[in-house]
Amino acid sequence: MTPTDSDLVARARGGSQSACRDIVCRYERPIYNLIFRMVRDRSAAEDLAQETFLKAFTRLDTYEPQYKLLNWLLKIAHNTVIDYLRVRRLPMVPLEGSPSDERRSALALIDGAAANPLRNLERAEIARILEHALARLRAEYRQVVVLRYHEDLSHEEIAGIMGIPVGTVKSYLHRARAELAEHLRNVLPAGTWNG
Amino acid sequence: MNRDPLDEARRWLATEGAEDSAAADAAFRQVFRLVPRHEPPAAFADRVVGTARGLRPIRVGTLWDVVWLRLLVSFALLLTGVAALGLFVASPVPDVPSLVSMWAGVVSRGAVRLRQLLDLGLSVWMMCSQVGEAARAVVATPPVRLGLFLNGALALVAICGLRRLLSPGEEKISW
Repeated sequence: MTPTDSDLVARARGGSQSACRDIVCRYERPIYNLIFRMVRDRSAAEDLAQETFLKAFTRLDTYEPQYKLLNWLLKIAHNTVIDYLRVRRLPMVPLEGSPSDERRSALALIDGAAANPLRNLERAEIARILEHALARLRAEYRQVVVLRYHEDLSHEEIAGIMGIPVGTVKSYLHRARAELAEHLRNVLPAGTWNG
Repeated sequence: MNRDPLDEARRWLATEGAEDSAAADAAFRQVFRLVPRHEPPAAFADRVVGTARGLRPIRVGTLWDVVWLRLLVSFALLLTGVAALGLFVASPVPDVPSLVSMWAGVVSRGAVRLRQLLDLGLSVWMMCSQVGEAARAVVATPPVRLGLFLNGALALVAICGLRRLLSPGEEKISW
């Protein structure tokens, strides 16, 4: 039987290394994914994800079982990343490729869709365009998008993690989606989306 | 996912354009599933647990959990014990009148010292009171009152501005 989060936390508080390992294994993906989306640097993401878990392990006494362990860890990750970004103030640089590359890929995608041979290629290209657009969003927008659509969290949970009002979360999501949609429309030629 | 990703994207853009937030949310969720999650390296858990071995948990405990405080109290108790033992060895049968006399001397000297401190405190209080009286006389004049009012208003505006700048809704951590 899989141990519950409360069991793992209780054992980790008692100094169990295997419990600590289980906590990391259970939640490393969402934590790392969120942090990587925020800092966009693999090495920094690894360090910050590790820092998140170490902070959590040293503060297990403050964890309240009625709060989801994942949300508690995401909140620590959020604070850790915000501290990091405050110091670093990373320059605005595209992840990879240029807008013209992206346009070429999009045209290839349309050709593929017309012939309807390779749905996987379509998926990969839409994912790539979205990923590029996501990287250009403000950090807060990116964070709410990842928490909402990758982690399936409610508006209230996101608000709790980021320490902002629920209305602000909804507003961020709305603006983020609008910017992503605008990016897609700009990358692809007019008329593409009419079916 | 068997649906045509282009159709999914079209549906999302259509709902986004229609300003239907709930429908756009649901449609975008379908499209965003295409975006891969980033995974940590394989040995990440080992690395974290290896580093965590050297850490000591931060406990929200009582004051007695502070090690140096325990050491200090233990040391004080030890010294007291040694002193008591020394007194007992030096004089197996305590000389009660001289002990009482010594205790009375300590108490009376303490009382004299306390009175001196109280006198000093009182004189400081009187001096502060005189300064306060003088300040009140100055503040009572209309130009100073106006200046203070303007200063307060300026501080209020500055606080509102700072709150607005530092609120999460306005926080800009972009690149």
